[in-house]
Amino acid sequence: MENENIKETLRELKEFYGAEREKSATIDKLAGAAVDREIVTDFWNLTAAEIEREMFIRLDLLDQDADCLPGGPIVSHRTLLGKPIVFCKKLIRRLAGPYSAMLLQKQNRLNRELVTFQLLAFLKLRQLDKRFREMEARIADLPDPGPAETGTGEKAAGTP
Amino acid sequence: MSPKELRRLLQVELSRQGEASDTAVALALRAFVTGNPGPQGTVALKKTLRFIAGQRGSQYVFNLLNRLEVSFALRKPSLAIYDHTLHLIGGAQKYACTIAHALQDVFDVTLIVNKPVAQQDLQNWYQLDLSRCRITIIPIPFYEKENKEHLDPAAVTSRRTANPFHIISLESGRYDFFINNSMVEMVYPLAGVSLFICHFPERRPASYFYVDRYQHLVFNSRYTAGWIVKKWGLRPGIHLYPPVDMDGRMDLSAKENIILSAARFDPGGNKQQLRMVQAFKDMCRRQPQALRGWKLVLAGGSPKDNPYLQRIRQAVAESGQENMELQVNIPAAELKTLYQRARIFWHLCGLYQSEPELVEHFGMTTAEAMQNGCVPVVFAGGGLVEIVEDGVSGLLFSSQEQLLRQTLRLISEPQRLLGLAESARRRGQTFSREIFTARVEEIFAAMLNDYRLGG
Repeated sequence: MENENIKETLRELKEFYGAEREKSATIDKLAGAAVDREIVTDFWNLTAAEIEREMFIRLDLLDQDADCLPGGPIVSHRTLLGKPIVFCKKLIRRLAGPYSAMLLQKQNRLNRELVTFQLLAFLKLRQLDKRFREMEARIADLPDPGPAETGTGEKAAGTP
Repeated sequence: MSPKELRRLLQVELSRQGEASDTAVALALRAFVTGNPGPQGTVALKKTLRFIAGQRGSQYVFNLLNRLEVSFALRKPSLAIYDHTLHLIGGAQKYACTIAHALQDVFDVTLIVNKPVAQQDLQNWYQLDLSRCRITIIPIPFYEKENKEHLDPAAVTSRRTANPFHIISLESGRYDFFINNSMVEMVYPLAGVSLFICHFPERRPASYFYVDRYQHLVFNSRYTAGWIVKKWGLRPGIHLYPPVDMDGRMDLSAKENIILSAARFDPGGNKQQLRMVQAFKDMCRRQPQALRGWKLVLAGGSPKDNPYLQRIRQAVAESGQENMELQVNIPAAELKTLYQRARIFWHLCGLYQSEPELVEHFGMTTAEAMQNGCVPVVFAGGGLVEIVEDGVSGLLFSSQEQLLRQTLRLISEPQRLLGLAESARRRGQTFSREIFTARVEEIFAAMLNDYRLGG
């Protein structure tokens, strides 16, 4: 193929595959495989700030999940069977509602109390941590006779 | 090469993964295209590409065609740099713009941003000619709703939302080269060549973490590299110190008795200016004679309502001393003059901090000060220990007490101070923009050569 010919052929092909690429739309398809995977956090190696952040996230998730009473609309995506299924589900919910609510409300209260307790424990820990840091800084600032003026020889802070 | 031979070779190479196999596929296709002119060759090529697309998808074929175009020198290679905070002034953003500046003659450079930013602003902020670069704005709907200046990647978790950064992942696939300078690990790279620039691994691998999918991992200091290994379990690849261009020519002996700090007035107090005020006050109390004629100048940027800055102002006022000065949000030219006037530079970021992200990852202002012959007296941690050679081009300390003693000794020994200033200036040149640019050009020349298939 001559250079001009190559240019034209590649341009045409690119146009085609560019359009194909747009049609693919999902990253998984474009990447040729599923891009997401389960990543397990190694909690044992987290720094203090990371632990605090994780605690906060978990607390938030607990808070979202605390309410275990059935809620939300009952729907079905089936075209023909959908309506009877929804009807049955609603009926079951209505019939069993008073009994399950008795149990679940108790569970709900427990969940709420536990989440609140966890929040308080978290806040208490934060306060203690803050006080500890302040004390640490004050101790470090106390005048010391320290021998070295240059070349501290200490491990640099934050070094992994 | 006949179509049959090509098919056989592709079957082998496509069963493997990685850069070597991609290059082998591209080389085979190039040989085929060159050796099979005419309509029959085109038909066979189309058939072959369909086969490849069936195995690896349309993006893979699109990338191959991109590579062939560049290999046949039919066009300039394209390169995109993504930075979600380019609309704000920052060291990492300067890093990205300097790369763009260095490469804009060889590549068609596009800066991908999420919030509008004017090219002229970037040029003014960083004193760089970016006239051959293009800016593409891609808003992220997830963040548009919140209408916040800063797009916080930490707000995204797989449980709460689908990955909002996939809009950028899709865009990345249009280019030959894609650089993610954003510290957003949630952008999946689809370009032929991909680089992730890590200024510090702030988050642990979690949902939508794709840094390991980039071909090259660039880091700004050995300190950052250490944490990349520890937090991400990845092997950092290319070491590239940030560009520092505050070089000033001046007579070192004509400097003034100023101790300077140049750091953002971070509302969280990470830069520790308040501690500097306390330390300076303490120094003046201990040795008033030696400190006569010396002053402390705290320069830096600050948001409008900053309670930390208020506390500093209050501490300065309460000290009753007139030899402390605050310079807030001053222009770069004024800061440069301050660097030129000051004899000593203080930097306390990281002192008494146990969190790695609160320690300076590199320390650009320290290098800037050194380029102007200020003797750095800085905290012995993070990237600062890579800039300052203790006792040679500055001094390191690990406690406030040590900071006081080091500084007082320096003040009382003018000859030593002058010697250290000379060495500091020399050392500061190691981080110059010229050196950064040369290194960027060298790195990308090698990558481009591979990408062009040696063509």
